[in-house]
Amino acid sequence: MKLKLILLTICFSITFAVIAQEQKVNVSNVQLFANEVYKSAPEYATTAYLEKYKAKMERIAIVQIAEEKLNNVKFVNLSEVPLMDKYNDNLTHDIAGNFDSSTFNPLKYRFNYNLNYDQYFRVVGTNYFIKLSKIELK
Amino acid sequence: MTVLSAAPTGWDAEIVVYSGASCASLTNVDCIDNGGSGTAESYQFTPANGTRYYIYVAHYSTSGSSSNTGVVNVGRTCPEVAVAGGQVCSAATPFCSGSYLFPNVTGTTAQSGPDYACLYSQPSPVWYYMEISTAGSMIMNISQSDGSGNGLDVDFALWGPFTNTTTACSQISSGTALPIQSSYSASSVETMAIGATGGSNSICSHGNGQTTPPSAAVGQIYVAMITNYADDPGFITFSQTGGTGAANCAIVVLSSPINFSGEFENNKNVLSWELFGELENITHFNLLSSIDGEKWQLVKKIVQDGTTSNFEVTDERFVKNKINYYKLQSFNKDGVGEESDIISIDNRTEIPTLIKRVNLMGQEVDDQYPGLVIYIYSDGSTVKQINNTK
Repeated sequence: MKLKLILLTICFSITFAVIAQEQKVNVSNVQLFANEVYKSAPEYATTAYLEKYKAKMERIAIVQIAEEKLNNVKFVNLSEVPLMDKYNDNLTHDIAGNFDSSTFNPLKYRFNYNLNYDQYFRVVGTNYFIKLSKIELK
Repeated sequence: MTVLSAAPTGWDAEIVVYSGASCASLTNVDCIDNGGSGTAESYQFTPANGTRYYIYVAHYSTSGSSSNTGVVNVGRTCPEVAVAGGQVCSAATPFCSGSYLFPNVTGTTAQSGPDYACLYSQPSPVWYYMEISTAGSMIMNISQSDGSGNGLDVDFALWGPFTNTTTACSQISSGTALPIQSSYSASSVETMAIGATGGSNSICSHGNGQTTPPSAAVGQIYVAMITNYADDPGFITFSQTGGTGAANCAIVVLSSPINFSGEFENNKNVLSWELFGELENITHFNLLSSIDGEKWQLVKKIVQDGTTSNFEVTDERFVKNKINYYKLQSFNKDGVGEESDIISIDNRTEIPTLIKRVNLMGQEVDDQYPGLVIYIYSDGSTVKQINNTK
């Protein structure tokens, strides 16, 4: 039992040390974000769909991870995630020059929301990571 | 599918279907008044999960009042769930335009090799084939929606005709056979047609989008790849809206309602499954375990709340150092049960070692003993083997 407590404490300390702060995506922007992604297909930006998008957005957070801590994180570059650009040709990947954590639109990306582990995507050229929390099974 | 019908005698019935939370906030779904006095009225629609419907039946009368009575029938039928299409052409499964739900997939990518015509991207594809049972033309709607009835952007590419699926997939996978039709439009309903015009050139300049292929002949095979651009879980349905031809529904493989799997994790056996189809049809599951695949015991009864589609249960009381077998029973509202395939989790931590060899009389023998030898292992298992050594 004592060993378990020690191990738990160590795990928590490592996680806390690697990720200092999590910034949630602003769910109140869901209509704005949907309008941008579903520009030529507004039928997918109606109330019924917004509820689904909100549920996805609630699993997204933006975290900063220091370079020296990167060995502890398995990640994919955000630029490698396909864009949902069928309805808006002008969508582009977030990169160092244009990334703004306060306006980040996760609906632009074809993330896999059906995995049962946390995923990290690095905004190339920054120490910002998009964290997609695992799906919660009942 | 819900069917409403009224057969009035001597009076004119009208039916209105509304959706809404209460009588104070109703949205009209449809009005039905196809005939006058004595005419039977009926209406068929697919209700959305979790939506409340109100049905208003009235007597049309110019006098402003009526005391007529009659019977209104409300019938519900639930489509059967077929197995999901394969994720590569060689694993394609049969489809037809019957009342089946075909589960979509999410989070996967398409195989490389085929020419996908208009499909600039091919997220989460499923492959199907149909075998023509009645010659002629076919116009078919492909629809995709989530469990709440919200349409999901669906796209398709169609290849054919072929004489069999092996030849078809060999030619498709190598890019030798090109699609005869495809669509990459934003719609959640696409039209696929043979002997008529189907497909779409929307968001496509490749060619082989909107086309009119020749009519089908009996026995011919057509292969379709359906993609899930929305990448949300849901179902695909095929409904024939025109044409004289037909596909063979007898070969459609029905699904157990679950994707049942298990693994050993953190000293526990974790069992998970997914429920497809109309969620409210299943009332509960029984998770059963066994160490011999013959005698089963209940691990847990799981009540389905009508909305949950993903389940995970842990079994901490599995038999250690054995292969544990599991199966799942699902029960519908009528009490009818269905069993999943049996899965196994290998919880053996020690490799069984040979304890001794005996002959049929139980006498211990060496490895040179000729004839039938029974090998007895440390986990109690036995293997019988005929030794040819002399």
